[in-house]
Amino acid sequence: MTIAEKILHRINRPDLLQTLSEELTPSELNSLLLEVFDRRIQRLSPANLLQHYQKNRFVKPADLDVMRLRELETRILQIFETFQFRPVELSPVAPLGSCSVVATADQKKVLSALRGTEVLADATNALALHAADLKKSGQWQPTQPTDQLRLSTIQRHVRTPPVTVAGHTQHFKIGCLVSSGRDTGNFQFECESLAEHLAVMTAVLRDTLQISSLRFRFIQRAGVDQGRLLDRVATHIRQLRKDLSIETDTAPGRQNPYYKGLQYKILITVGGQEYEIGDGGFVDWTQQLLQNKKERFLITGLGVEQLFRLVT
Amino acid sequence: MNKGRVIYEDEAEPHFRLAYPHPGLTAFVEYYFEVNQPATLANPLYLNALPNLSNLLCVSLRPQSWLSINQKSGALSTVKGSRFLGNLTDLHLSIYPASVHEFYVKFKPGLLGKLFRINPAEVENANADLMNFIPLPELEEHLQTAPSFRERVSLMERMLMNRLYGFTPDYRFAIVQTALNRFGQTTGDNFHLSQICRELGVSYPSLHRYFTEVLGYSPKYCQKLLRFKKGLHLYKRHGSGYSFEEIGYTDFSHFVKNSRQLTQRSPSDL
Repeated sequence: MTIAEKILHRINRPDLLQTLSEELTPSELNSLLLEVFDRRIQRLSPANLLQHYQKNRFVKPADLDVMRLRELETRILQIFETFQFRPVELSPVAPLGSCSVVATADQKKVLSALRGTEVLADATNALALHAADLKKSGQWQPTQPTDQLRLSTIQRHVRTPPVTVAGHTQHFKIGCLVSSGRDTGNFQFECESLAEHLAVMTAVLRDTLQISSLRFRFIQRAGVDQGRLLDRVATHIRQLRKDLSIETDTAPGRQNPYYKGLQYKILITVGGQEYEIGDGGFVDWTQQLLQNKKERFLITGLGVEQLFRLVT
Repeated sequence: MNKGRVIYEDEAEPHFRLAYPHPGLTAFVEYYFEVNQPATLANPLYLNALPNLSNLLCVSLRPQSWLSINQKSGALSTVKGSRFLGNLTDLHLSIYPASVHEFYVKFKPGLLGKLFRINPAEVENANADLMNFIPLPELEEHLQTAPSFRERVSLMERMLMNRLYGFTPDYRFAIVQTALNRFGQTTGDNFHLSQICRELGVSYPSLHRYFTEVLGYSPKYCQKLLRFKKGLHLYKRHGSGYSFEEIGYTDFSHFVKNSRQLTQRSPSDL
């Protein structure tokens, strides 16, 4: 029996969940929940509020030097913009289901909110929605079939699973790059877009922050042409950028259906310890959102807050 | 690891062009050059700018920005639009992404300070909007639409001829330029400052004062910068086997030590 089923059994309303989730429209559910929260808040005193603040693991500020973090963020965004990844200031909330409808994320790991929203848990999903909207509405139109829509952001993310790693927090800043394009054959989008993301990450980590131990690991994932994608992309980038260190893993021990065809990790060594400071790969989100199999989408996430803690 | 590289004046590059000035401008301009980089974002051009004494006028011919990173402090600047670039005290790595096209004028050290009455210290590592220094909106537009490097050089020379007409560098500026030329020519045993002072007919304290007024640095520091640039060029051509004593170093180790002092890198990483 799930926690929800236990609660419904205790209050002797076994059909309540079905009523709320299936019989009410989203608008009706929202109105109902607003009323519920309004009533509960009326019973809350300022002293209770402080107690909740002290107990709630999501609401405390990050323990870092804000001005220096902002300086790092500005430098990173400058690089993103110079490489033509247009910075976007996202809303702190995204449509409910942004992560779990198109990707393999569990909605319970996301802080679901009212009015059809959720607190941003993955900015690359929000950028996918923004890119799909720009394309569908005609606000962005390619002049060449190979043109890419490049967007970037640095955003604070909130995720609900309790953190188990020392130094990690419930909310953290991630720098994101996304490239949206169309399949023009011969993995052209995949080769060009991934090489661009690697060029940006190299400019940030190796050239600006002077982390000499930077390397990338390409991991084969199910979904696209059984390894041809990884082989083609790795060969292309190795020929183009002989200065980059690229490892490949064609038989990973663990499957990850989140990425399609290729996942990549950004690895650095600081103080003798290796860190996975970033992660990315190809996803089919814009294919799903735009209902078009020719759509291609590459995402990269860089742990800006973790990076800040490591390099300062 | 790609740490960028230094391009020398005698290198032929498809994305790098260089022209020397008209004889009437040689007292003011070192040379003109152009960076035209049509590559992809995935494979940007990496260039190193050594610590130097030059002031550059940079006219942006395409609206694409590029990055300049101070390799000592880590300070990052995005360079966009036409710029005035001051002399550098540290090694700077420039990263040019796709479609960068810039036209540069490299002035004689200290000239712009004299011309615009700017204290040399104020332009150290400067990376400022050109319009704040030299408002030339029409010239910028003409340079952007000129079809070739040669035509851009002609346009710039016409403007400089007009601007510099009647400008006569004073005695101190001339002495400093002569001394800098001598630093560049010195080979064998004739690189000692005392000897150069004797040849120029000035005492070392006077030469020191002139250098500080015109460039903001001592003659010794300026000589060190120019000697290092020359040494690095020779190292790139001949490797560590070159006789570095010829240009004033005690030995190869002295040259490497100088490289680390000035750029925080070994010569092979430049």
